[in-house]
Amino acid sequence: MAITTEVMTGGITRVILDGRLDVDGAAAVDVQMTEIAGMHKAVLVDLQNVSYLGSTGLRSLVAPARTIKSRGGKMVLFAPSEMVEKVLKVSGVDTLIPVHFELQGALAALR
Amino acid sequence: MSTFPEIEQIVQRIYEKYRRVDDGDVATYIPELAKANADHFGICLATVDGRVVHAGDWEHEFTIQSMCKPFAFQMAMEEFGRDETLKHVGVEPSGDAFNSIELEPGTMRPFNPMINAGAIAISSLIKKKPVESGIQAFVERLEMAAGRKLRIDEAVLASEAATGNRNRAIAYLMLNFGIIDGQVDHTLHQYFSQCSVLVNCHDLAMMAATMANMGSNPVTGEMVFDFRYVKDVLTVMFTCGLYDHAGEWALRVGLPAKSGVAGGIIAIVNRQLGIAVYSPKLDAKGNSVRGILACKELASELGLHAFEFTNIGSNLMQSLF
Repeated sequence: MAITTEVMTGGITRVILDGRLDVDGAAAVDVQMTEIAGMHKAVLVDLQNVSYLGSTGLRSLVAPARTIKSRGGKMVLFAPSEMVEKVLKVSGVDTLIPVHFELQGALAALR
Repeated sequence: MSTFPEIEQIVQRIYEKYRRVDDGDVATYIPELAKANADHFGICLATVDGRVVHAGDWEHEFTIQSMCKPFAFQMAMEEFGRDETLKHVGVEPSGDAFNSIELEPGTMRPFNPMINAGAIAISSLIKKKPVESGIQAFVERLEMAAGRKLRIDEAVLASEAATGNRNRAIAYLMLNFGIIDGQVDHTLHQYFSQCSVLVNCHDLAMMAATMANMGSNPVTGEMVFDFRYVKDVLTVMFTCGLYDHAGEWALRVGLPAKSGVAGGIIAIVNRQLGIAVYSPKLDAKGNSVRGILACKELASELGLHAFEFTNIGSNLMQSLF
């Protein structure tokens, strides 16, 4: 599991996750996700290259989303694959963190 | 289900991750169990719609040992009802080891049916005359749940009987307090026989899935257990199934489960899944080391914990919102 960040216009941070967000994947990104949640208020998590999302991985998304929200900010999820979208829906996490498929819509939600 | 190849991959990955963990010791207090191959490690999952995923030594047979206890408790509840059964055994976690010789102050019942004392009290209830018919009734019920013929390991049975003096002492203590009747040898033969049934991970996963599936075997469709008591059995497994590790297990895994001293663990995801893991090296509390690691990771990965934030309470409530 790899994690990279990009600064976008309007003070938005794009977090790009790449790989399987399983138990090991979650362990690999949790520290950085926590740091990002403590530093930024507008975060777009790009899930395009996440091939699998498990229960531990859901925690790795919900925890920073809640931290950012408590700091008055917002986090959105962007472009999950079919499998990942299904997990977000079945678990109800799509009602906790907004999911976007169009980049413009995702950015607009964060502005 | 489109995610099933994912589950196969997860199970295989967990098998590979923990197969080389070498902590713990094979049980020796029943001499015959000491002959187990410490390298063996098998995992099997069975869903309530009859699908099965497995890895490693899932076909290897071993004795069911204490994993017989929930099924015997279920049979006693069905035959005698809840009130009568609970006159002979409590439902409180003892926090003691599997072979605890303590009884509940006041009632003098064993604390629960998952420790030896409680299971012996249950064996006293479900034994039948002639002696072999009670054993046969028990084995037949396990066969219905497993979906195949099972047999008793006579060498392990003889080994249990020859060395089971602590269990004999527990039984006589319960006889003293009127918890079991005077046919102590018959009761112990029933108990030792129950523990000596040979199973593999596939059998155990199917038995667990049968419990998960309201008591019906997911493959044959046969109604094996009365669903009205399944909830009671799962509750006692949740609070007492791993002896003095039960609290830690509830925290880390959060599923009703039962371990056996031969190295097996079964866990149940209600209405969804039966899990079986086998690896004979045990920790100091008598539970399979690799088995616990595998169950922890399965629960984390698949969100199986009863109180995982993704698991919503009552479906009935949803209809009332």
